[in-house]
Amino acid sequence: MKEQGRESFEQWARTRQQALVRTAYLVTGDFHRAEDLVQEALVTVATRWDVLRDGNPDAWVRTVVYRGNVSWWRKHRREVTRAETPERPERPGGAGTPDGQAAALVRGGLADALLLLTQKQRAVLMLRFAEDLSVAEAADVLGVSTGTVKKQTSVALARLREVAPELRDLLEEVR
Amino acid sequence: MNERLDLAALRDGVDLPPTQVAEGAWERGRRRVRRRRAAAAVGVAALVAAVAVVPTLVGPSVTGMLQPAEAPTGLPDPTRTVTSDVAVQDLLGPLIGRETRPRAGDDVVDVGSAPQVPLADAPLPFARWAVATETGALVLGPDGTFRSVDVPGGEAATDVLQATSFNPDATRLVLGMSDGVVVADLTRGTTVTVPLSPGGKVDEAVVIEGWAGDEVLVSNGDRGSVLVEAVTGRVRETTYPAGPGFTGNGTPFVWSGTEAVVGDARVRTAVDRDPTDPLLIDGDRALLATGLTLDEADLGTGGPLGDSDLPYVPSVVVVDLPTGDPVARLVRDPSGPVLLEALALDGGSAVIRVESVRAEVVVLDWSWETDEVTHVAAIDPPDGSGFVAWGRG
Repeated sequence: MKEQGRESFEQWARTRQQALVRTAYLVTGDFHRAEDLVQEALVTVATRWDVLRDGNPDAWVRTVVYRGNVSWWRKHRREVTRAETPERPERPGGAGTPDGQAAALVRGGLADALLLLTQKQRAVLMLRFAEDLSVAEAADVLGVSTGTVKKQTSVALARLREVAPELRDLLEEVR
Repeated sequence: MNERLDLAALRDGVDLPPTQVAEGAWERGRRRVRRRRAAAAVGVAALVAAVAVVPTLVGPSVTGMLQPAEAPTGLPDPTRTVTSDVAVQDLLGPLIGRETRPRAGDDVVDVGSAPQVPLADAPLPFARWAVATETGALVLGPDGTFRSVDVPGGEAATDVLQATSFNPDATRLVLGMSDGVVVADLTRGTTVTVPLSPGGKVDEAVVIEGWAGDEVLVSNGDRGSVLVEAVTGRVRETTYPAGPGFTGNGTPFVWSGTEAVVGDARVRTAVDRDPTDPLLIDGDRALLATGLTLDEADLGTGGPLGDSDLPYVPSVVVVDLPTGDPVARLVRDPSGPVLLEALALDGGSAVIRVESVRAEVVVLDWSWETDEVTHVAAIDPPDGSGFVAWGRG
């Protein structure tokens, strides 16, 4: 690690941290684990900043976050069974942005429904429909086959339709 | 992007408290790099004098004794220079491609649910492989059953088991602790616990560098390297600088960057080795996973990665130590599994760990003389640990 890279790294990391934690929260369903995951990913990026700064650190840290979650899940899967939607952390001063009520309701329902999926299913949906990656790109990030991504996407969408029938219209056209 | 299911908008609208996770990341990263490098750094002496131990005999387990100071073991001064003219880029062996990913029909060895007995109750002629546990390691014997070997106190460091943990014929096993090692003689079912002075975080074990006959070379942070005699636990200090090891006939070497000292020869090679990278030795040949090139295509798509405990490696190389010549190289195809770790070298066969999300540990055999890669094993270890050592699998 070369010290002259510190300033550019810290600037980059500060501008990305909130978005990364939001992503990690939707993937993990746990705010504190999301912070842990992003913090570890940023440390990993810092150790490779000499090379990554001229490449694509955003793509790299995204992969670290997603794979870090897969790794965490593998290590703790015997301990974790999600029975219900987890609580979101309380934010001082208010509970959300003033979007239109209908849109907020849909988003809230979707967020809750997402958290009822498995870790892998959430990760696949986020990569496909939030990160806008192709099936092949999502497969590469997760280190699985394209067939696995297709299957997980299909199963995840079916599960969403099942747990959140009010979102059926939203999900109907997704294949 | 699908216009209806827009999770980007959902993500951007998630209302979470402001985070400060970026603060301190650079410092933590720097400490991590320092710690890794310190694990094989130059150092002498202080190790032996630091602890006084009274040997005690408890069943088949013994606590070893640190020896009085004697002339430290070190390298002879180089009297000649050998320069390799083989460029690594000229070697392009097989690409590990999609066909080597685990397949749905593959059997996964579920170690956690397999029967196991303490090593002391049922010694083994040799080990096939071992996986780390929360208390030590589980060793698979040729009979297909597991033996448990635990560290004192029953709480193992994260990297208790390392790629170099087995001796060449897989009859002895060394487990690393933050303040010492446990050496198991698998054929007799005995263990020797050898305390060394504390050298790092409680969660990090000493570095097991390699074997020379019945002695194993252990580095303990900046406190240097010692030789531990496997049966008696006798400890000798050394003056080896960073990245030490022994060839198959016991010739000592050190290798850092592109320069090695092998016995009395200074060897210049095209292969750049970080002294913390483990080396697997067979005769005069060394196997190492090395960051020779960083594939720009991989960078663009997020880079090859291991899990959080293991760094990714772009390629694996076999090097002839006396000449410094790289003789074979394995590179990952973008469609193939990520290379994680070199585990063993035995003649023309190299054992490589690759990443998988289906099983924690997936192992391939690379026949580097014939350029063939075959799938060997998928292992689901207990406790979620990903650390594995390869014996005579």
